[in-house]
Amino acid sequence: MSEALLEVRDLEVGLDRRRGVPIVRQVSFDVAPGEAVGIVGETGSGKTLSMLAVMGLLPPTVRRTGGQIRFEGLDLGALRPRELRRLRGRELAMVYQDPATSLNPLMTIGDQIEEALSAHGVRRAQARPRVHEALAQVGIPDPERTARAYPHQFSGGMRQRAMIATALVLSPKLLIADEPTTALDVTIQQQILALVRRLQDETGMAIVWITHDLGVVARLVDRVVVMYAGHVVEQAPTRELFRRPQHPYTAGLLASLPNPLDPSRPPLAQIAGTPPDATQAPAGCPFHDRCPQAIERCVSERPPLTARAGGSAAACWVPPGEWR
Amino acid sequence: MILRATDLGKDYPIRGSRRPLRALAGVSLELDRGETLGIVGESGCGKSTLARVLVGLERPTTGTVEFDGADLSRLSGARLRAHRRRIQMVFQDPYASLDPRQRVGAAIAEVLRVHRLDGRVDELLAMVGLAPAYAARYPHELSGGQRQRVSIARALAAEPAVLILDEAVSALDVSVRAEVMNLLVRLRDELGLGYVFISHDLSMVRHISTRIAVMYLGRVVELGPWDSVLGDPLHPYTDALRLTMPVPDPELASRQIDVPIRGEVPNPAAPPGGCPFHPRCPLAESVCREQRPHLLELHDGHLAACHVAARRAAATAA
Repeated sequence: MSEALLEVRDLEVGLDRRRGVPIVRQVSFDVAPGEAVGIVGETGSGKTLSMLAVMGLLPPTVRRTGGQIRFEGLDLGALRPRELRRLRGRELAMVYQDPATSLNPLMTIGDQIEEALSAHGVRRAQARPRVHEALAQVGIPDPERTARAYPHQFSGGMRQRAMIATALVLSPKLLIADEPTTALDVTIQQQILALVRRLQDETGMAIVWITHDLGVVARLVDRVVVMYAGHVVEQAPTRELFRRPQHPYTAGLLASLPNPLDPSRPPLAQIAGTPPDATQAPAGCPFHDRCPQAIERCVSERPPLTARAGGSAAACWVPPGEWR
Repeated sequence: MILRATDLGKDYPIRGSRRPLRALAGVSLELDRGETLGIVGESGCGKSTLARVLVGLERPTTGTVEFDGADLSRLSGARLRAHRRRIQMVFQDPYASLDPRQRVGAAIAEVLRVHRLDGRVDELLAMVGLAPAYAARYPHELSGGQRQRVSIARALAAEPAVLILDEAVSALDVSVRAEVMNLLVRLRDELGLGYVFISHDLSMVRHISTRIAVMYLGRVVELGPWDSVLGDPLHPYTDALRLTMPVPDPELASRQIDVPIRGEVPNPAAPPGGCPFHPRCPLAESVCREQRPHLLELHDGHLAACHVAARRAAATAA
């Protein structure tokens, strides 16, 4: 994948106040133009911090302590803040889980989208029609009237549509979505997923979808990056991940979901123990203390991410053929 | 029959309006010992109000709740408390329901003392799979899954016959959810408890339920055995919800979002006339805009409130 749109190499993010105690380690992955990639992980896996690092929007208590992020070959770490700001919005945009906190309650929806445009040099006279176009594109009815509404006058689903309209108004090449459907009703979630897939088809943009929900991943993305305790433990084309998981953690997550196609409703497979605090990830493989396949080597030596059949890669010393 | 709700209604006054918000309307449900009644629906469907009414946190505006044959609205004092004790609730967020300054053991012992029961803290911890040493811990020293186990142990301390589980596994991480679900199934089967399992997550409801009730805007729109309701849904809303269950097959899964149901749940303060689902329904006809469909038994033990489904069932029977 030499033509990557986004290239993340050995990314490290650490806690600032504790001399850079790492919470994201050696994270590497690519996103090709037009590709939809899912980053899957549980609470504390580092999935959101990794993507905030890409956006240059890490919270003040953490910072990037290593690695490289390239966007269209450009080293984002070498950019000045002003140059990075210009890139954000125009080339890469992000939507968040809770639109209520990321929209300004005192500004109309239309003004907020217009602000995004004018920040990138679009004149007012040209901006309004583009605002209406952006609202119509995300399925918001009667855009001229709704542009004058305030966020509190919108339902949760409509606010999320407005967030997506704001993110997409400058036609970015990459949309990063951080669990934007988690807080929504299940039927609205389906609508937003369908909307994003349609917009992706229409615009050819790439997507990184951050989620804990393997169901969303199965519906939307081409490729999956699985994170655990700050590490990438598996990467695979979506179909491969579901058919032949290469890491025991991925296999455990898949087995823990009830299968609506199975009429016998067997007990759910459990993963022993609890997810670790990434700042205290055990030595060796970060999953070894919960892993049913762990061998002695896993306790002391961290497995590197290595290529497997079918375009997958996994960080595990024990191949699936040798699983108990 | 351990728990029976008959024609439950719950109105909340709206400031500046003569019309109240009708959070529950005409809800009738029954629960047997050892059975799990799953309740599924989206925001505003009344599922949490139903939970609060069943457990006695709210008084219904109309209708009755009977426990073990006794109408709870006709009881008072010690007899009411004795009955209420047998219906316990487990909430979504164990952080909010446990006192952060109280050790786990004290939190459980408090329930035993209030109800003058002679249960033992270590036995209750063992029932939910926690070692006796956990009695000395504070809630913040526990993981999310362990805290939810403590909430369940606290509910069990009251020696209930029925547990109302309101989004009890929804806040848990995927890898932890499975173990709490398995624990709930084991406790139900070992203790013969009746569960009302309320969730927006249909795949969890499907996994644990004996029967399922689907709610929409304060009403039950479909009710029946879990495999009939999900294998052969009668109501178009249930059919739409069914497609929100993740399937472990990416090709099938990506087709699930091909035709999402249109529109949003209307404001519960101003529900549509006729069938409350008609503005979003792919099958809606003129009768659906005008008349509210009744919840009717269309097949054996399988009820739905839908004009189209009722007509189809009548045609098949004829």
